[in-house]
Amino acid sequence: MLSTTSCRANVNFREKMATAMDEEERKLQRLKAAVHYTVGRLCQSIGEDHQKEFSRQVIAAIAETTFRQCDIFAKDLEAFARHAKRSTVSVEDVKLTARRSTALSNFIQRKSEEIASANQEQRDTRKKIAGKRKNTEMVLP
Amino acid sequence: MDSVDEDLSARILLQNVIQTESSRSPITRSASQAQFQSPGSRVRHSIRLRRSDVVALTPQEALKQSIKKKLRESTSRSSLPEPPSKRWAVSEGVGKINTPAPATASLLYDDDITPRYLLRGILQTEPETSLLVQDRPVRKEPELPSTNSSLHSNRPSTGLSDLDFPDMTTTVNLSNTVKGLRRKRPCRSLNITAFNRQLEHEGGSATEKDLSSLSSASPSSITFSLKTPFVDIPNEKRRFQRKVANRKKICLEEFDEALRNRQAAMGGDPELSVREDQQGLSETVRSEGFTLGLSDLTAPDITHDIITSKTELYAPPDDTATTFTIATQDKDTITGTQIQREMGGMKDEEEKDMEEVGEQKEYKMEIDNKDREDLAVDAGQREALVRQEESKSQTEEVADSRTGEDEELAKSQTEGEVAESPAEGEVAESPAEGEVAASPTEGEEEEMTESQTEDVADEGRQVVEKGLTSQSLLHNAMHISRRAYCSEGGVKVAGVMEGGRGYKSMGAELHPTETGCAGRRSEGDTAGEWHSGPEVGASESAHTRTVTLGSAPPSPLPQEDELEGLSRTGTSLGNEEMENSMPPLEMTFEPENNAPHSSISSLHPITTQSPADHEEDWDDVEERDGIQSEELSMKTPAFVREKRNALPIDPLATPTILKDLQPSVSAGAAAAVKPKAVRGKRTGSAKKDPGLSKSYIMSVFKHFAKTKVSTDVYPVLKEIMELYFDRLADDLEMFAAHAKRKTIEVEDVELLMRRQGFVTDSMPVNVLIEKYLPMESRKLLIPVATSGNYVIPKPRRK
Repeated sequence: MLSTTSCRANVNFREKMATAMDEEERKLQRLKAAVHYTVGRLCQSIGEDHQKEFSRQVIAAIAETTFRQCDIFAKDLEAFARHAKRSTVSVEDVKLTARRSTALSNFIQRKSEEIASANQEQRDTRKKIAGKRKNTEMVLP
Repeated sequence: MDSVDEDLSARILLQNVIQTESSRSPITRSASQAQFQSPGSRVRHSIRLRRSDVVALTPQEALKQSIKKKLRESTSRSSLPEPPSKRWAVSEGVGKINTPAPATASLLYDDDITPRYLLRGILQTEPETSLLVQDRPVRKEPELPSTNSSLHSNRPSTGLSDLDFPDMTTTVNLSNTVKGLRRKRPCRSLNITAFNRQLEHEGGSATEKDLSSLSSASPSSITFSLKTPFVDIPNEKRRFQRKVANRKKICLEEFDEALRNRQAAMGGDPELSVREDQQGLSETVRSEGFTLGLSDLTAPDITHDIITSKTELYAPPDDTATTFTIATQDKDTITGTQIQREMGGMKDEEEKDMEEVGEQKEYKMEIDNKDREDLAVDAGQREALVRQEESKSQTEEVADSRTGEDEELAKSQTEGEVAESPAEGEVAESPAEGEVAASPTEGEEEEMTESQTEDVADEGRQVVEKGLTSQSLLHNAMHISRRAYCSEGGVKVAGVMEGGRGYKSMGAELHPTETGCAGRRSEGDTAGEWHSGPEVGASESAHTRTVTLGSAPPSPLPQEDELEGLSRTGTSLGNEEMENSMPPLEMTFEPENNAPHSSISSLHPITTQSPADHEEDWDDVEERDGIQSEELSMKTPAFVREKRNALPIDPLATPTILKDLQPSVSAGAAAAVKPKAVRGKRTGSAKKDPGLSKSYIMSVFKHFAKTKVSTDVYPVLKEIMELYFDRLADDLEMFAAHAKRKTIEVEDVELLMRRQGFVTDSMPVNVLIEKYLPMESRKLLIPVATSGNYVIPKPRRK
């Protein structure tokens, strides 16, 4: 009795693990498909700009490479964050990862500045609103 | 009976056996029955034994009975015991031996089990056992002459016949087993060796001697093939003895002597001689410098340098000594290269102040722009280059470069004694040699300043001393040895500064041997700079560590210098340095010293005091240190020497590893060599642009290429390597900045390695460390591994 239950438990556990693995696999597949689709769209738009077309193999290669590079980036970002004794990946980490490629680093730099300024503006507006609210609240009572 | 007293044990045993025969376990009978081919006889034998056991027999009677039984057994048995077979094997075929072996073995085992048989064997075999074997056998033999005589009578009749085998074997086995009962185990070993000898000789004389020897040998071994058991026993015995301790020392000493001899013989070959000198002078260096031609010292330097800053308290004297040496070298090289690049045409006439300023600048630049590793690399490279150059040319070229380098070195060197040493060496040489009046003198000054900055006292003193004495050879040797120290030290960074004392001594020694001042200076500078860099990050413990090391190795050195008769004019400087170095040694920043050199110290607010001290010392020193340093060096000559001697062993053990470390530098070599180690090798000669020496680069590349490599690749390689190192330094700097630090730490390098793909989830850093670095580096990097579960310093890894 006990043995059978334990066996069944083992089987269930293994099945769960298997299914979990399958889930992982399926997720990866879906992600890869998403990347492939996006890359295809991008290539299409770029091709239109230059009146050139991208073959399927090229798009597949780019998609696969992008996918793997994402994996590498993630690992590097995590390593950088840990190196800075942080548990969250920040813009600094991203910048460090992209510094190799000049164009990319410039792009990211600009982007980060834009985002920072946007955040700043948001904060300013929020403060103003909060300030006004306080004033009104103060006044009212 | 006379024999009774002597053979008290045997008689008693026999009596006991006889009395307790009935209580014997049935195993023997059944076992014997099973084993024996003629169970019938065996049974009979056992029965007889029992009968005899029942009756209280006198020893002689028991012996007689046993002998008779054995005779019967032997006759009945087809298998022959082994020991006799062994004896016969030599003369006869092995077949005989082998077949009887199992039977006899079984019989033997059976006999062994029962004390009766053992005793019987003793009694029976005693007369047979030659007097040569042991005292005991001899004793026992006469004890039972009557029984023995019977045995003898039996034996001679069967001596040559097959029948004899079982008899002999049993007796032999019994005797062996009985002997096993004896307490004097060591005697057996003697017999074994004797037996082995006899066996080897193929004894010919199948005499009782053989038997006795055989019997003396462990009984169990007799059962099987002739040689193996006996051979095993002595080997095992030897194994237990563990006589390994003395070897290394002897090797080292011999090595040193050999090196010195070589030096004397070679003379002309600058590098080799330099190396040898180094080795001769610094034992610690010997091990490392000796292993590789060019690249020996640099590899460990880098790793040590990198590590020293991190490893704090953990610094066994040996390690520190080695690291100390290495660090200095790296410093020298780094500064030299940097100086060359940045300073360009520093003139000899520039004052020390200029130099110091320049050093500061360089130091800053180095700190800011370069990774420690880069420095180390440069230092290593420079060192290598410098060394080469020095050894090769002591001419004006050197002098010119020297002056430039010296100046630069003096400036850039704040940390390293190395800088001092090379500078000193150069200085010493120049005045001594008189090749370049201006440069050498300036070099001296520079060196002195450098020494101040570096480890203060030691170097300063050395510089001074060296300058005074123009012993080119000594300089060269000293310099080399100094370099060797640096390279060995690996952990220079921390050590250089701290080991003021050590450095001084080292510097003193090294200086005299300096051949190429420029190169040295640059090295020293780079080392100094490099030291300052790592020192900044390095914990105090590291400094102290390096100090101790530095003091250890250098102390003997300065003495040597002193002995050599270096004038003490520079002593003042040295003293000053010593004074300065002393404070860093004690880990007490010297505000007083720093004050005048505030600019310098400001460079590295956090930096270890040593660099600042060095600079300050340099300025102030000129007078005080020399004496103090000398004194300090004098204090621990023996102690330091011992440490130095103890150190080199490891590097010797891993020459190939050092080689492995180097090759990674070349761009083409994608081998998974620690980039740190590789980088260390980059040494910029004072004369040329910074870069590793051609021979070094080529050798490393060839080692990893595993095919023929044409020399055309060198320019390409050099360029690639420069790019590689630049990028490396850049990355490390970025990583350090990313972590909001100003010093490149070991973890930065680790992160880089991860990015480069050397370190993965399945290949941790420690594995690479163990795979590619020499033992000293490994000890520093992984203190836990060698600490025996007792780690004092904070573990390097979080």
